[in-house]
Amino acid sequence: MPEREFVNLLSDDELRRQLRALPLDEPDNGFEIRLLRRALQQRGPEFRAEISGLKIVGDSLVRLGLVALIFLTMSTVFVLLPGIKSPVANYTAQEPVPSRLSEVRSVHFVLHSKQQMLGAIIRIVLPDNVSFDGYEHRRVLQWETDIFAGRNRLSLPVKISNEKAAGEILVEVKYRGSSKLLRQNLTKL
Amino acid sequence: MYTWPKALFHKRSSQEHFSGLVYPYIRTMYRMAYRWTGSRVDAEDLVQDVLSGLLNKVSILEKTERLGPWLVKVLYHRYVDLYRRQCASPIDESFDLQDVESCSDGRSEHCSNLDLERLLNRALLMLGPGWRDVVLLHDVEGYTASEVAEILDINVGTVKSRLHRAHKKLKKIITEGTIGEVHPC
Repeated sequence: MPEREFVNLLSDDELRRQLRALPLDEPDNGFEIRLLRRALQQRGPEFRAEISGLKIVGDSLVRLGLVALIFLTMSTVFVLLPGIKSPVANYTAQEPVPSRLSEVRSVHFVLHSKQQMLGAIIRIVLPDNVSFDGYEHRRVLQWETDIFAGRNRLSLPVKISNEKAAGEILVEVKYRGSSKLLRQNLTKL
Repeated sequence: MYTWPKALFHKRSSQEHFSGLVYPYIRTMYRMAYRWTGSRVDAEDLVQDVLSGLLNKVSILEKTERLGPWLVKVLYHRYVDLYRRQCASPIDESFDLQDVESCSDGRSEHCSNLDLERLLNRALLMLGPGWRDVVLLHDVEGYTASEVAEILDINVGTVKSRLHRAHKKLKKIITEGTIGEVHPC
């Protein structure tokens, strides 16, 4: 996070502007009709009737011409940018190992989450020719962090010894007994 | 005599009438439900639950002058009942992740915005629920102070006071560096 952005947030107007811009997982176009149907069904058989024939709803949809983005599941965007520090806190404490490689790159993951996951566990497994900056002999790092609904960025400072065949980074996210394993090929480096 | 066709017609038209009344506000309700629950699924469930509970209250909906804020008020009370009071529930929630995509360099601004979003989300979580509700309604979703007061059942002075204090606290959290740089070694 560049320092200037923290400074900008000090003004009330800028704070409000940023709050107003917080992203929302927008529902799809037919969402209103779907919810109305579900509400009628939830109410009982006597209410299970004909939402589909509601001209007002259909007409309103056409008039509004609604276009909405939908993110039904979490997705991960993998970004490779050099020189940006990670905002992710709570790396597990490890004994530092002196760096021997000259170039350190920050590898950025953007986690799109449909729900907030406080206290999620993130576990990173690196291929043999990639090491964490400062932990050259470790291939696995794990820590606990909060994942918010929406976009979350995770940055890893790594060193890659052979960029043409950098291999695959595994990212495992664990939350309340469930887990998901993501794989990212680094050949695009 | 022959009352059932009339009753059937009445039922259908009543549903249509209900749908016509609430339809313009469903997306607004969803937005607020999402801000409170932090989950798309929970937000949809919450809105559905509120709509279901209002099906028999068409006459009340008709009489309500400012239906949008009123519906959000109903939504808020339902949210408090269903979610905030059960936040200590140990129920496991499943979560899902999608495959990894790639994007190239030149996204530093994008990443920077993500940092800011994360920072703001974290700062909002550190506010008390009373302050957070006011900020979410007023600053994030754009309700007026009087609408916020109506929705939360508090007076306008309290809304303004909470807003002022919440802004102060948010700025303090942010400037103190809620999320600092991480040095892995």
